[in-house]
Amino acid sequence: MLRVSDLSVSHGHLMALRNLDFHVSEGELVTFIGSNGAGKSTLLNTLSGLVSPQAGSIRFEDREIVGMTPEQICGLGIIQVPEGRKLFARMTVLENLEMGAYLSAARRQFSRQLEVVFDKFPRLKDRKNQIAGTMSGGEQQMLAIARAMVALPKLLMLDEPSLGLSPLMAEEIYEVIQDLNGDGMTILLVSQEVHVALSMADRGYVLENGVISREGEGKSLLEDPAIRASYLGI
Amino acid sequence: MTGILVLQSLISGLMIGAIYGLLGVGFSLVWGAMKVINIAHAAFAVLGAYLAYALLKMFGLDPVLGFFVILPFLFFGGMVLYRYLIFPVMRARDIVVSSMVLTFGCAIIIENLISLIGSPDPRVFTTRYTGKALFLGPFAFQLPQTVGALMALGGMAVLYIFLKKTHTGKALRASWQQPEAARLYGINLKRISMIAFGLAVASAGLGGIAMGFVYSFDPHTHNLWLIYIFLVVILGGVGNVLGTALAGLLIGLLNGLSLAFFPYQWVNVITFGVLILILLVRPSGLFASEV
Amino acid sequence: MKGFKAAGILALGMAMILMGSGLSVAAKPILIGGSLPLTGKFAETAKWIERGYRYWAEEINKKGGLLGRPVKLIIYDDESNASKAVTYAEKAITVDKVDLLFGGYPGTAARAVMPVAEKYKKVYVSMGGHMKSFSQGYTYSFGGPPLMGEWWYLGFIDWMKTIPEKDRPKRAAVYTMNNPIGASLLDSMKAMEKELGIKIVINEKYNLPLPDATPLIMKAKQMKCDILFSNGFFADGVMTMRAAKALNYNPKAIVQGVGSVIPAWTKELGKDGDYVFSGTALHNKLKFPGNKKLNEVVKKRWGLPAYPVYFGFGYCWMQTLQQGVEGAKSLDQTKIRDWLKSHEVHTIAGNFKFDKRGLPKPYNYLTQVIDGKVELIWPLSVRTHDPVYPKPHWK
Repeated sequence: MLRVSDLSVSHGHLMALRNLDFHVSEGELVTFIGSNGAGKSTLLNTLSGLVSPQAGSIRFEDREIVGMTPEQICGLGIIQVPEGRKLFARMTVLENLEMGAYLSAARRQFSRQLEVVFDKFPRLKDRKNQIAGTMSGGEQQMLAIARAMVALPKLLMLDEPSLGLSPLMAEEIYEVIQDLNGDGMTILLVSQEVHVALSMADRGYVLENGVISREGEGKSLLEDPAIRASYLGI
Repeated sequence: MTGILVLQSLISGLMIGAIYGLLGVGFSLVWGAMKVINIAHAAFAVLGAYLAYALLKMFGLDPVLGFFVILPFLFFGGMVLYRYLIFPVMRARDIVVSSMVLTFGCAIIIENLISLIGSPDPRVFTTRYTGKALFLGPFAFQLPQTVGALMALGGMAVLYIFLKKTHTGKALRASWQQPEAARLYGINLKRISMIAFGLAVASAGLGGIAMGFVYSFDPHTHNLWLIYIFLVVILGGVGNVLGTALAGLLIGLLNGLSLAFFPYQWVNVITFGVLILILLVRPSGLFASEV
Repeated sequence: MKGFKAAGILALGMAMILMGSGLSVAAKPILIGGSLPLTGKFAETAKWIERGYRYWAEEINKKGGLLGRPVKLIIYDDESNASKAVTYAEKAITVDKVDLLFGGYPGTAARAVMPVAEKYKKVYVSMGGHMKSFSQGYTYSFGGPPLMGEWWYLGFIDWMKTIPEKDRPKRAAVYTMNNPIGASLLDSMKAMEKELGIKIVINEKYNLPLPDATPLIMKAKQMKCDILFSNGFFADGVMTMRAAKALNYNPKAIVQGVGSVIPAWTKELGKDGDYVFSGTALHNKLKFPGNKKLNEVVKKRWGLPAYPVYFGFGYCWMQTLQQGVEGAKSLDQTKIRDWLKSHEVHTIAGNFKFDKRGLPKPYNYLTQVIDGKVELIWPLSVRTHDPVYPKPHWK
C-alpha cells in the first residue's frame, strides 16, 4: 500500500532522515520506534506532505505522492493524528469532527462516519457540544483519533498517541488502535512506548538518528537483545 | 440635562458604537488570526464610503444597495492584496512589524489614489432620508444614523454567523487555532487566509459606508477612524468577534454617557480615562483574545 | 573653423529663443521660498494657495517681473506638519538663500514660522495664527490679510445691529469645537451679549469627532434658543445642520464657524446648507480690482464658477508682498517692512494699513449661503444679496 524508497529529508544543513526504505501493506499495523529526536515526527510530516523530502520516492497505492500538497495527500486517505493531538481547542467536539471531514469526499459521508465514530467513542457523543480544549487528555486523544476517522483514512498514522496520558488512559487508547486495526484499518504507529508498540505491531522499524537501524516482526524485535538493552532497559 | 437628553445621548452613543464595532471586527480577525496588523483597514473603510458615494452621485443608488455592488470588488481586492502583498511577507521573522509597514504603505496609496481620482474635499451621503428622523416618544432617531447602525449590526451578525455556522467559517477558525492540523485535514491555508482577508476588507467597506451615514469623510479621514478601531480591538480582545462588537458598543456608550453627564469637551478625556482604567485591571482587554 | 562658427550661431540662436518671451537672461530670478502642506490633511486648501501663488508669479513674470527680475517659487511640501514647515522655512532662508518668504498654511504652521522670519529678519506675509501670533512683538510678520477667529463675527454683529431689537434673537445656543480655532471663534462672540442683547443660554464645547449632534440640537430646542452658533468645521457643521433639520429645529438664524465657506458645503449639503451665516476675510464677489480677472482665470483653468477663497488668499498675500517690494524698490527686508508699515496696500480683499503688530484694522465680511451660493451681506458697501432673515423653516 505504502512503499517508501531511498527517502532523505533535511532540516537546513541537518540531515533528519537518511535513505529510508520501508513499506506498509494493507491491513498491517506497522510501528516506528525510536528515541526522541530520531526523526519519527519528521517522517510522518513528510508522508503527510507538510515537509518535502530532499530525495527519494513515496508511493501510495502505486501513485507517487512526493510533491503533492497536504490537501491532496489528505484526499488520498493518508491521515495523520499529530503529536500532541493539535485539536481545534476552542471549537466544539462536533466542529472538530466537521473539520476532520473538511474535504468534500469526506464531507459527503460525514453523517454516516459520525455514527461510526460516536459508536466507537460514546463519550464524544455525550460531549459533542463541549469545547474540545476543556476535555480531559484521554478524551482529547479520542477526539483526535475520531477526527482522523471521519477523514476517511486508508492509512492512519498516529504520532505518540499516549503522550501525556495516564497509564490507564494510554492503555485504553492502545486498545482502540488495536481495535481499529482489527476492523481492517492500515495503521502506521510512531511511539516511544516501545514495549506496547512492538507487542501490538505486525512489523516494526527502529529509527536511530534518521536511519533505520533494525526492522522485523514486532515479536522478534521485542526479543532482540540490542533493543531490549537500549529501549526496554532490560 | 434632563433624563430624556441623557437617554438620547446614550442612543447616539450606541449607534456610533455599533459602527466602531463593525470596523473593529475585521481588523481584529486579521490581527488575531494572521498576526497581520492591517493599518490600511480604515483606508479601505474610507474607500468603501467613496465608492458608495460615487454610485450614489452617478446612479442615485442608495449606499445600502451600493454596498452590494461594491462588496465583490472589495472582497476580491482584499484577496488579491493578501495573495500578492501580505502572503509573500508572511514568513518574515516579525510579521507584525512587516505587515504594519506594508499596510501603512497601502493606506497612503489608497489615500492618495482617492485624492487623485476624486478630490480631497470632504463628502457626505445625501439620500432621500437624510435630515429625517423617527420619533419614538420623546426620542429622535435620525434616519441616516439609524440606517448606519443597522448596517453595522447586520454586518457583525453576518460575520459572526459565517464564522460560527458555515463550513468555510469553521475552517477559518480551525486554521487560526491550529494551522498545522488544519493542513493535515486538507484545509488550504493560503486560500482560507485570502478569503479571510477579503472578508475583512469587505467588512471595512461596509463599516465605512455606515460611518458615511454619520460623518463626512475625506481621503484623510482613515487616520481618525483607525484610532477608534485600535481602541475597540484592544478593549474587545484581539481576534474576538463578539468581544470586539461589545467593545464597540461600550465605547459608544461611554461616549454617550460622557456626552450626557459632563460638558461635551470632556468626552474624550472620560472615554480614554475609563479605557485606561479597564486596561489596567484587565491588560488583555475586557474579553479574552480568541479566534 | 567653419563648423565652430556654425555651432556658435546655433548656440546664439538657442539663447535668443530662450529669451524670446521677453525675459532677460541676464537678470537673476528673485527666489521666493517656503512650504505648504501639499500632502496630508490640509492638502485640499493648500493646493489652492499654491495655485494662487503660481498664478501671481506667472502674471508678474509676464509683465516683466518684480523690480525687473523674474520671480521663481521654491515650494516645499511640509506634509501638514508645522514643525516641518519651520525646517523648510530655515532651509529656504539658509540653504536656498531665497530673497523672499511666502506665507505658510494653516495657522499653526504660519504661527510656527513667524519667529523664524523674525530671527532671520525676513518679511512674512501670511494668514497668521489668530491674535495670539500677532501679539508676540514680531515686526516682520504681516497679516495681509490675516485670518482672525477673533474677528470672525464682527460682520455679523454689525449687521445684526441694523435689525430692530424686537426682531433680534434673544437666546443663543453656542456649540464650539474644542480646539484653538474654536476658542478664537468664541473670543469673537464676547461682544455679542453686550452689543446685541442676545443672551448666551447654552455655551458648550465638544471634541472632534462629534459622535452625534442630535442631543445638542435637542437641548437647544428644549431651551428655546432662537439662534444657533455652530462654531465648528465642516464635518461637525454638517452633522449639526442635518440634526437641526431632522429634529425640525427652526431658530431665527444659524451661524456656522468655518465649515460653511468651503465649496463642499454647498456642493454636499445642497438646499440644507442654505441660509447659514458665516464670516470671511476675503471673497470672490468683492468689488476690489482684480477679483473679476481671477474669477475668469479660475473658470477657464479649473472650470469653477469663481475662485475658491484660498486661491484668493494666496494671490492676495503675494499682492501685499509685491507692493512692499515695489514700494521699497529693494529686496532689503527692513526697507520692505518699513514701507508696509507706513503705506496702504491695495489688494483683492480690500485696502489695508498695517499697525505695529502687522495687522490691518479689524474687519470681517458677513456671508450667507443663499440658493447654494455664498453671498456677501455686510458691510453694505460689498453686499451682493439681501440677507434672508429670519431663516425659513425646514421643508
